[in-house]
Amino acid sequence: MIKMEPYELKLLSMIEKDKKIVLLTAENRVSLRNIPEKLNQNFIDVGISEQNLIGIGAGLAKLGFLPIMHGMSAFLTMRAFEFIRTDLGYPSLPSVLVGTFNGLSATANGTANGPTHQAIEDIALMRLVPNMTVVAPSDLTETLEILDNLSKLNGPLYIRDSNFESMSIKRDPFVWGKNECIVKGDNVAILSYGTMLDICLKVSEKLSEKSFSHAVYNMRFLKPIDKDVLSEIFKNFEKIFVVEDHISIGALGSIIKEFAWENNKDNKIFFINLRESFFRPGNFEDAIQNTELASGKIYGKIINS
Amino acid sequence: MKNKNFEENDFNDFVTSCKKNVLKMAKNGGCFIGSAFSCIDILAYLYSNIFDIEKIKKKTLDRDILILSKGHAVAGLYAVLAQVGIISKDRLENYLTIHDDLYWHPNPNIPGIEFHSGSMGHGLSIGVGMAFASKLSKIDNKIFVVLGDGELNEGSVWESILIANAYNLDNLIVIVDRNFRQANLKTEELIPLESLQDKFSAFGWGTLLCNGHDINDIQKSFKEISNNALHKPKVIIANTVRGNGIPLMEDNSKFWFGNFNEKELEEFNKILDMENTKK
Repeated sequence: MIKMEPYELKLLSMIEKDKKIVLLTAENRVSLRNIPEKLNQNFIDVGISEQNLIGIGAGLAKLGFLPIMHGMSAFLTMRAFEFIRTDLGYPSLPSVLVGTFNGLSATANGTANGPTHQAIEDIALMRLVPNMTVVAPSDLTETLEILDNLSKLNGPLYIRDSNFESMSIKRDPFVWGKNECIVKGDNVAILSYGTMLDICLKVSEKLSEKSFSHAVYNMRFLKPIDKDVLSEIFKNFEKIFVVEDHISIGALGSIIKEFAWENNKDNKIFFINLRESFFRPGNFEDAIQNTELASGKIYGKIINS
Repeated sequence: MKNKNFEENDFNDFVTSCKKNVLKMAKNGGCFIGSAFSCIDILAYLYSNIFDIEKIKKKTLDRDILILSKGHAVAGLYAVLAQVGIISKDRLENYLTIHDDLYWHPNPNIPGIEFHSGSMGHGLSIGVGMAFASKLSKIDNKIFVVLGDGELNEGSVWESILIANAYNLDNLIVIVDRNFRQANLKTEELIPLESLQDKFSAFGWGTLLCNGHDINDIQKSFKEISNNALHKPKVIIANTVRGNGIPLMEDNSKFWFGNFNEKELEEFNKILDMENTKK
C-alpha cells in the first residue's frame, strides 16, 4: 500500500472530477512520486526538457486542457522563460506552473544544490510575464488552497512552492488574491512569504517575548498585488520590513518601492533579502546563517531600528 | 485525413493565385516571400485536398490542425486561407494595417491560424501538446507542423522529436520545408543537417522524402503517410527551393524577404503566369 502525500491526493481527486486536468513534469517528481502508477493518461513526463514542458502544456491548454506543469523553479522559470512569456503569457492560457526548490528552500535541504539550482530571481521573472499570476505559498495548507481555486484562472499561474509541510499557525480562511495579516500589532510591519514566513514567525516570537509590538503579513499573492493590504500596511505602520529569499530586484521589495512611490508614501522601509548575490550552498541552517536572512540577524535589525 | 480528387492544372492555378496574393503583400509593406514560396505548394495541397474547410471554420474539435512553426512564411498561409475562403480575400487588403492582425508572423486572431508563432523552435512542442490533447480526448485527427530546415538549429525541436517518439504520437505529422537555406546562409555551410532523413529515422520517426513543388509527389507522400500503420510520429522532408516559381528569386539569398514596387509586382505577376502555362 503506497502512502500518498496530501499534494498527490489533492491532484488525484481534482483529476477524478475533471479529466481536463493534465499533470506534466520535466522529470521533477519530488512532489509527484506516487502519481504515475495511479494515472494512465493524465500524467506526462517530458523528461529533462523544460522548454517542451511549457510548449506541450501550451498546446494542451489551447485545446481546453488545464496543464499543471512541474519543475525545479530555476530551470522552469529561466530555461523556459521565453516559452512561458510567449506561449502562455501572450495568449493568456489558463495553466499552472509549480516550481519547487526556490529561494532558501528548506525542504529536502534544497540549499545544498549550489548556484545552478538557486532560484533567487524567479519571482522577478514571472512578474514580467504578461497575464501571469504569481503566488508564493508558505506551506502545504496554502498550496492545497491554491489548487482549490484553479477554476478562477484566466491566464497562467506561477506557484513558488517552497514548503511541503503545513505550519501549525492560526490563519484566516484563504481568499484568492488576498494577502493576510498573521500577527497583529503596531509600529512595525514585517512582510514576507514562502519559506521566509516561517523564519519571520520565529523572529516574531522573540519580538513578542520582549513586548516589542509588531505585525507579520503573509504577502503570498505577488502579482497581482493585493493593494488593500498594502494600503492598510502603509497607513498603520511607521516602519516596514520586507523580508524575502530573493535577490533585491523585482520581487516584494520592488513591489513595495513601486507602491510607495506611486502613492507618495514616506514610511521607513527596510529591505532584507539576498541583495544581488548567490548564497553559499550548504545545509539549510548553515546556508541561511550565512545570509542576512538568519532569524537572529532579522531580529537584530528590527529591534535596533 | 481524407484525400480529395483534383486536377493538376486546377491545382497549379490555385497556387498561382495564392502566389499573386503573396506578391501583393510583398508590395504592401514586404513579406518573407522566399520562405512563403518555398512551402506554399505544401500548404495549398493541405488546404485544398486534405483539410475539411468547414470544420476549420467552425473550429470543430475533430478538425485537423496546422501549426506553421516557421512563422515568417505566413504570407503564403494567409494567401491559402483566403483562397479556400477561411478568410476573405478582402481581408488581405488589411495586411500590415494597425487595425488587423495580418503581420509578418501568424496570429490566432486570424481564422485558420491555430497558434501564434514567429520565434523559432516553439511550434513543434505546441503541436506535440495538441497531439497529446487529441489522444486524451480520443479524437481521431491529425496535427501537422511545418518546420523550416534552419529552424532545426533550435535544440527545443529535438526535444520535441524525442518526446513525440517516446509517446508514439502517431497523430503528429511534421513537414520540413527543406530549402537548404536559413536566414543568411546555406544550411550545409553553417550547421549541416544531412543526412536529415537518417536523423529522424534514428530518433524513431517514420520518414518520407518528397519534392515539395511536385503536386503528384506531394500527394503520393501524404497518401503513403496516411496509410502508414506505424504507431510513430512521421515526417515528410519536402525538398524545396526558396522563392520557387520566379527564376530570379529562386535560391537567391536576396529574396528571403521581398518588398516590391508596382512595376516589379506587374513583372513578377507576368512571370508567374508564364511559368504556370509552362507546366
